[in-house]
Amino acid sequence: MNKIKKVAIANRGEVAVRIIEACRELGIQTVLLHSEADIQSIAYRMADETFLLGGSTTAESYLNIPKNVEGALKTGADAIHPGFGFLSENADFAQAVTDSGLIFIGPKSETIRQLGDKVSAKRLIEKAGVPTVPGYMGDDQSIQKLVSEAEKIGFPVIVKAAAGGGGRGMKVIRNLKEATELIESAQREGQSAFGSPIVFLEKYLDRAKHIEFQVFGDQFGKAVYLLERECSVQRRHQKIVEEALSPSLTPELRKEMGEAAVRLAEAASYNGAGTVEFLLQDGKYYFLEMNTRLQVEHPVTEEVLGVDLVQAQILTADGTFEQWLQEDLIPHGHSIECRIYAEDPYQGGIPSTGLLGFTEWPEGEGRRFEVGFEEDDRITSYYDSMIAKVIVWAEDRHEAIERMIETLKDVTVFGVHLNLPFLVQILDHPEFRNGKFTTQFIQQHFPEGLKGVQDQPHNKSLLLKSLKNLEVLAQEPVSETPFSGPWATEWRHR
Amino acid sequence: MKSQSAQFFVEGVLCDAQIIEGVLWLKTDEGIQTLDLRNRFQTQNAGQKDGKTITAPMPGKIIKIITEAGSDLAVNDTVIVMEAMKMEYQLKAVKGGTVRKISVQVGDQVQLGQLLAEIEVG
Repeated sequence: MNKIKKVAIANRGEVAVRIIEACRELGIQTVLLHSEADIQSIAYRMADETFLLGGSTTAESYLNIPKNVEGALKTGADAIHPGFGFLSENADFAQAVTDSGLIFIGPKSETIRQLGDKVSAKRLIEKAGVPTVPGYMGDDQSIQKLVSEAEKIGFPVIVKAAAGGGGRGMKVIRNLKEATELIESAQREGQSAFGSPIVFLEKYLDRAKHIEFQVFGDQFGKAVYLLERECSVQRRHQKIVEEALSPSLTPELRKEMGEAAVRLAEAASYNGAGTVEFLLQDGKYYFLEMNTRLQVEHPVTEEVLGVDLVQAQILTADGTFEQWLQEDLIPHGHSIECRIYAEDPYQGGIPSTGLLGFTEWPEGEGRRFEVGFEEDDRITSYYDSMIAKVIVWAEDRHEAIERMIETLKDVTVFGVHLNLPFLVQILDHPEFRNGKFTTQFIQQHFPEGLKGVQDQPHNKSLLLKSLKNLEVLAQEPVSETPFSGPWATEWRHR
Repeated sequence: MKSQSAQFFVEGVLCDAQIIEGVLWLKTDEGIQTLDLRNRFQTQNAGQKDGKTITAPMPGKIIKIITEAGSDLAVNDTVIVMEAMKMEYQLKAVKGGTVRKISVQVGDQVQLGQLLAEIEVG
């Protein structure tokens, strides 16, 4: 008999929709734990029940542990799915969930704690026999020690807040002269942003690729690797384009890295979905960090392997999951995901907010859309500006790139600016196409998005004539009969 | 806050268009472009440059008469407020003077170029 009959979703946007859809397919009821602003979202309308956590700020809602637990208990949920971001890697939250008698869909809180702290995670992986980036993570946090260690490692060196994550709390030190100032700054920021001034140092791999392995541990802690994703297209450590598989791995390297990732997962007795991130440079790989949650880019793995990771997570938490056999995980084709951000790429990517108007996601073969909002929803500035993801699958990488470009050009969203034209430029760039791009790609070729690279189309004549058409239409009663105005030769009212 | 969206051909180009909160959104095969309408008419002189008349800059509805006939006007005083495409537009005096006549009433639907007010300049 299944334990989980109702899942409370402690998240928002397109991932909340994703989890609801997975639950529906399993015949499980859903409760959305949401903020005030997210009443205007697709997930709110799709969930079987909803529970208002509080106001619109993340502190009042998605980061509020007692409120989330209260919502799940009050609505009679059996389990909580934390999605990604927010509380998904918060060991205290996982603990609070299980303490209250609910099931946490994810690894155990002790596992999250152990792997969430970069320092202890690194020690674990050294025990599991996986190479790490040369660095220093000692207890001696005096400035003299840190500067001398940085010099030993060899510049460029990156100083990271031990309690940071998701690309935040990191600085690059290029020479001895700036070492003291940058290290002290990182310590101060670590204290104020993450509550801890502890930093560690790593050699900065300045032309590396970001290769991550999806791992999955069953309820007994037996793990397999679901191959890799390449996520080197990043802006300020925030991923924009991801793909499976990586164009940069040989089968031998894939097997070696995958097995290393599994060794780590099993050393940690990992349950559920996790991701082991590596940096690959000059044929050598180094452990970066392990993420103890479902990742944004999980769909590309699902597409090439034909699996459903969210369902697997739920079934694992339910105790009924049948683990995959490593030899059965054979990839087919190539998949690419683009993150759709509400921002103006022609103005360097400044966030765009507003009321959504007409939206059209062009369905078709090998196309998958994960969308959080639709017409009449308001996109606000309270949260991350990602509002959707576009995923394509094709027989090979070249075809996948072409299919993605075509799909992006056919997307229509009115009301907020989106990064669509920026994504097209990225995918069409020779360095992306030939697979040689590294994590420096965006910085090198698009440091300010499309600003300075391409101008927004501005056809004054078309704009004014379209305006005239709309004004005329507004005067007419809504009707199905065709109309011909002074410049329109044919129109259709939606 | 937003108009209906519509699709039509203009100059042989297929266009999707919609006005949302004072901004025109247009999609063609070149991509998406916008035109901010909010400043176009809001404080623009609606009418002749000599300031003797105020005419409607677009089709719409009269929603407020601010300065009645006989009152004094300073430059940039709002005379009439109209509404179009779910946005409000303040129609202002270009020159100071006195309002001689208001030719419309609140609630009237007006056409582009329609005479709304006559002003005695000076």
